[in-house]
Amino acid sequence: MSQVTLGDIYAAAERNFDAAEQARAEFARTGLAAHELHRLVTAAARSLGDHAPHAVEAAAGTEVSAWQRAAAQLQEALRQAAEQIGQARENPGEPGEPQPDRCTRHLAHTADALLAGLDLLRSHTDVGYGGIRTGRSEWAPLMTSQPVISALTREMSRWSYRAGTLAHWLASDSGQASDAAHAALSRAGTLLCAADGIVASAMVGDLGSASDRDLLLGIPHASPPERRPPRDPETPAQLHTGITTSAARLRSAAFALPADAATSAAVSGPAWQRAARAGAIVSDIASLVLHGLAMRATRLAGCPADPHRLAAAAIALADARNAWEQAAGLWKIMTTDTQSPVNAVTVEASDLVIRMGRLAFDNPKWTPAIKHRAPPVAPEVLAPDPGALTTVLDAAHQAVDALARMADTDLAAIGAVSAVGRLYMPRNVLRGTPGPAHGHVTAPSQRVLLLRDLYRVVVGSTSRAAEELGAMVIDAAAPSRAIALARAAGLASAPARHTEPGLTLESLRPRIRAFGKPLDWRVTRLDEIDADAVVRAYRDNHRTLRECATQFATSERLITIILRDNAIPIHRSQPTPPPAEANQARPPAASPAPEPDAPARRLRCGPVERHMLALNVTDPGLLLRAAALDRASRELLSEGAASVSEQNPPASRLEPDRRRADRASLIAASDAPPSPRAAMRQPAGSPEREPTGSRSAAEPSARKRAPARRRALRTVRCERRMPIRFPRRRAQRPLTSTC
Amino acid sequence: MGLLETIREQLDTTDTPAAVLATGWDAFELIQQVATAQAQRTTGSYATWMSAIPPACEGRDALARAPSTPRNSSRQDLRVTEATGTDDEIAGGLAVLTALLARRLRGVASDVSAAADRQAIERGAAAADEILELLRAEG
Repeated sequence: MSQVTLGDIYAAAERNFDAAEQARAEFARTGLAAHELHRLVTAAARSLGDHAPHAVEAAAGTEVSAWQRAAAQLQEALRQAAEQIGQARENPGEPGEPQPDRCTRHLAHTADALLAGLDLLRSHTDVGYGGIRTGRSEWAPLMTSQPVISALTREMSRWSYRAGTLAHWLASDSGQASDAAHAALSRAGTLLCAADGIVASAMVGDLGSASDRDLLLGIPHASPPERRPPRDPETPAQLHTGITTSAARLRSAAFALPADAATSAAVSGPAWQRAARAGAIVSDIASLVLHGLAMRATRLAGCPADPHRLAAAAIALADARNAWEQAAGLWKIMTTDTQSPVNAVTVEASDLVIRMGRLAFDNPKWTPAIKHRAPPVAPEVLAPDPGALTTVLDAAHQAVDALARMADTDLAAIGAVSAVGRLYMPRNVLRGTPGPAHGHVTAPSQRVLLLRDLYRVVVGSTSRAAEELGAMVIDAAAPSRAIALARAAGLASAPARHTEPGLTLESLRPRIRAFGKPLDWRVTRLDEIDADAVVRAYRDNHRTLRECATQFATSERLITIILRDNAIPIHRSQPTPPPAEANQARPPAASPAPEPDAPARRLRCGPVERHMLALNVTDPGLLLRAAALDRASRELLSEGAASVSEQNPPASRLEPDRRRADRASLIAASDAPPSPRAAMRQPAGSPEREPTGSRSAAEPSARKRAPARRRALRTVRCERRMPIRFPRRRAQRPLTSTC
Repeated sequence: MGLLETIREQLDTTDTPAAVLATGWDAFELIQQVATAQAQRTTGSYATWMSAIPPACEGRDALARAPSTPRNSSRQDLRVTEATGTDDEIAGGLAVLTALLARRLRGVASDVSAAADRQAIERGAAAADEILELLRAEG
């Protein structure tokens, strides 16, 4: 059974909601239906709440993108609608009462499905101390990415509209609602239907794409499927399912590796050697398969993939195979303190080897054993029709993507292990004495650096192959397109970390040859050194003579000879600029902010932040959020005041889209706490004052004021020349003057 | 293949645990080097030869850790650049060597007293079994 995806769950929700609508004639009790509608709307709000920005700050602020604002506004509308619906609901009855009607039951199943979808999204992150989220899978970084949030917002807005129409029906057409329930459900229905419009208008111009929705619906549960050991024989469809399962399990096992690699007993040199061997074999088999598909694609009508792209992917996989092979070769000498050859990664990688072999070779019992050797499956048997070609392409993509993930996490784990000195080499190898090892010593830094550079090449070559296959899978609408979209989205949000110009397998060959040599071994022949690579390293990558000598396992003298032969000027004291990676990794030095004294700080704060300080809140995160709320309120009030102060009626001048977009923001602003100073001035027993926002909006009619534009400019000037204190005025002082 | 015959003869004739361990180390190292060379040049058995390398390295390293393995630094420097013959012929020759290796290792397991020696011998024998399963012909 394949992994459950978010699309499967949402499809179940759609089916149940459609069934609920068809069963309206059997509807009995408004309260119970409202209870289920409340669960549905709450589930939609919480689905956004975990991943979208905080509603109030983003809804009022001006520095958020369209999709962030839309997500925040929709979340707020869903929350308020749920509050309204809550007034009309009844809790499900005691045991013994008659079962709810069919309509209500289907609504309950719909709510259950949306809650299950929420659980699936949450399965990819853990919430730890202080509410800090950590990832549990390779999908975790995508949970807050623009494509996923954008698609999730559109999905929830669709549910918002559907829930709104149902709320209106419950309020009136059902004929069951009481007056109070009617009013509450009507208000909720209006909010929910309007929210859909708010999202649509806020995201005008940001139409999103079908691929964003495919990515969202393709998100699987974080827990991998159960292991399916290869058995004899398996049909092509079973092989595809088995490869998909093994690839998912391999991705999951690889993700868990670097977390505690520095101290884990699960990581070991023998296990890494077996994993690299599996990487080489799978890459080799996948390359063979793609060659067969490329040949078949030239003769197959309606082929979903271009034969040239298939052939290019096959070549990319051959490069990946060579890199994995070299990595396996280094592990013949390099090792760790732990020696277990088996871990979760090697088990899944071995399953993947067997299934890929049975896909590619004409033997249903194929294993790497020489007695099971068989010729490759003929292309016309491998892909008899376009559908079968897509299936085989999909299987190859699953396998290669899993290898690329494994390589990435192996690189990170090797870095962690090397940092604590857990990499070793035989003493006799470094001394140049043959025979069994006379114990091990900590691996020299140059050999460790080569191992990590080689894994960077492995990551780069395998990832490139995965990207090429992923592009074809997306175009062919194959089952694993969500995985390809996830890789593309991950690349868009995170720059490439492992590629370095000039870092190729060829450029590493002199160092690889020197890996098993004694410490003092050097390349001594000019014809054994790639002169072009030396020139690139010195001139283009700004390496020093010593660094070039280390990189090419030779002496500075030979490097100098090569550079002079190629007419490259030599700078003896050439400084090496720091690598770009280090610059990006190092955060900019923060200028120390002068610590303000408490009274002055209080006077410069807005009302929310002042209230927090008055409550003795010291959590910097909470105080930042409070300051953001104050700033967002000031900006919103500036906009509102500017629009209200114009001569024409404000409502008619605002574009309908902006009016709708601002309505939710005003609703949010009206919830802002009143100014503590205003609260202190309020005499006892007087009616509660209106919130600051609405009071400020009404101000222009209360007294003479400067034109709105000048006032707005004054607000901007005020903010630039902080700190500044305006002379005290009478009671109704706008927030904009409290900088 | 002269080196293969030499090591096989040594395995057959040695009678002390130390000699078996030392020759066993040579055998694993030879298998690892031949498998590496064959993986480079084969066309149809890439998976076989690549899969034989890890257990050969593990068996070699296991025997190297045994306390009874001689630390003789004057041991012959094994260098195999290319083996002559087809995949089946080379695999057959190595399978015979591996079967003999597994049998001799288990044979001396009862002759050693140190627990570390017994553990190393067990791991070496298991590695030899894995290699044999990969290289053995049908039957």
